Amino acid sequence: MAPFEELQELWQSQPAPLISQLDVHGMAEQLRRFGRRQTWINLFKLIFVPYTLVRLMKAFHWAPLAMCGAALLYIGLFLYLVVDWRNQIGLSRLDFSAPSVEFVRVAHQRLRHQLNPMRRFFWVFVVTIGGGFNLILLSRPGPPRILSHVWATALPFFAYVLGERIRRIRCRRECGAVLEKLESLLKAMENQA
Amino acid sequence: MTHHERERLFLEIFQGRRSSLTRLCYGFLGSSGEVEDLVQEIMTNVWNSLPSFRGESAVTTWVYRIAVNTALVYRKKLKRGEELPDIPDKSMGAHHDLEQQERLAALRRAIAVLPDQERLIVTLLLEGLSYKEIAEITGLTVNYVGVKISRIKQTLEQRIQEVTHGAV
Repeated sequence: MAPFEELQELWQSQPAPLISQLDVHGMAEQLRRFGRRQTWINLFKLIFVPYTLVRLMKAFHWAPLAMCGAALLYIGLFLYLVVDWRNQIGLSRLDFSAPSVEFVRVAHQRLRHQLNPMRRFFWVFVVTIGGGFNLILLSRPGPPRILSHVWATALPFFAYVLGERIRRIRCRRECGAVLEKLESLLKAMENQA
Repeated sequence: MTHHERERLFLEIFQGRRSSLTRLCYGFLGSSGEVEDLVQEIMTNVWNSLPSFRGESAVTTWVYRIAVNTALVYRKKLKRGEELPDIPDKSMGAHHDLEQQERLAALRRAIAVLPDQERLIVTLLLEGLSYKEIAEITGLTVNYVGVKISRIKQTLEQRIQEVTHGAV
């Protein structure tokens, strides 16, 4: 008998350790509960944003400029939430039944997307949020204050950079090891090609 | 697929492939400490993927793909550099023959030092899967799998021989 066949026989002869019986119903319910919670969190965000904007409009007595600004703000924030939600769904719905090479590529790409969720929408986000704030400020009675407009323009940049930093730290802590592993696997695969 | 059908198929998969999946996890992790966690994770992914199973590939290939991909992204909770147990785990059953036990331990140790992908390939091979099946699971070409396997086989046999002769 060839040595490897011996090893194969030896390997298959080892009985598997006892694994406790899986609770299929409990597991399915747990997964559904997790999915439902994520959906509720995202829905809450979607409702909270227009609610805050309506409150803001009230404070500005429904001035037309302020309403245009609020509409722009809403577009920017809505876009952010939708893109982020799509990223989350993409990551949670990885096709585990795909061949490994393809799976590793997609998983790596989707994990990287978590680090910079807006990517090509970044400028749309900055322009809509910054523009919206500026329009709201313009609707205030009295002469425009340059400093407030500078702040309103810079705010979306700062908010995004801060959010990205926090996301990177969280991502490094929660999935840094996986990302590292996927990167080394990808490198090995590229070498094969 | 109805909920009832999903549950039935899931249980069929779990009962029919529990041993081989557990051995695959054991081979990949190199220690029994987290085998149960990984098997649970694989079964969770099997459950989630069941509605999209269209029967385009054999159930075995499909399940192994899920198992291999889950193992690749599995976060090991063991500390880095943690050593593998020298004595085979008691939970792996009683291998009464001491020589066999030593050979098995040597095989496990030799597998444990291989890179992730090679570890999975060799475990699939040890489970009796063909080159074609391994290629289907990993997405590599059959030729490449063949080249890789012949290299892994040489390495394993050499390492096991070293251990066995060293012991004598």
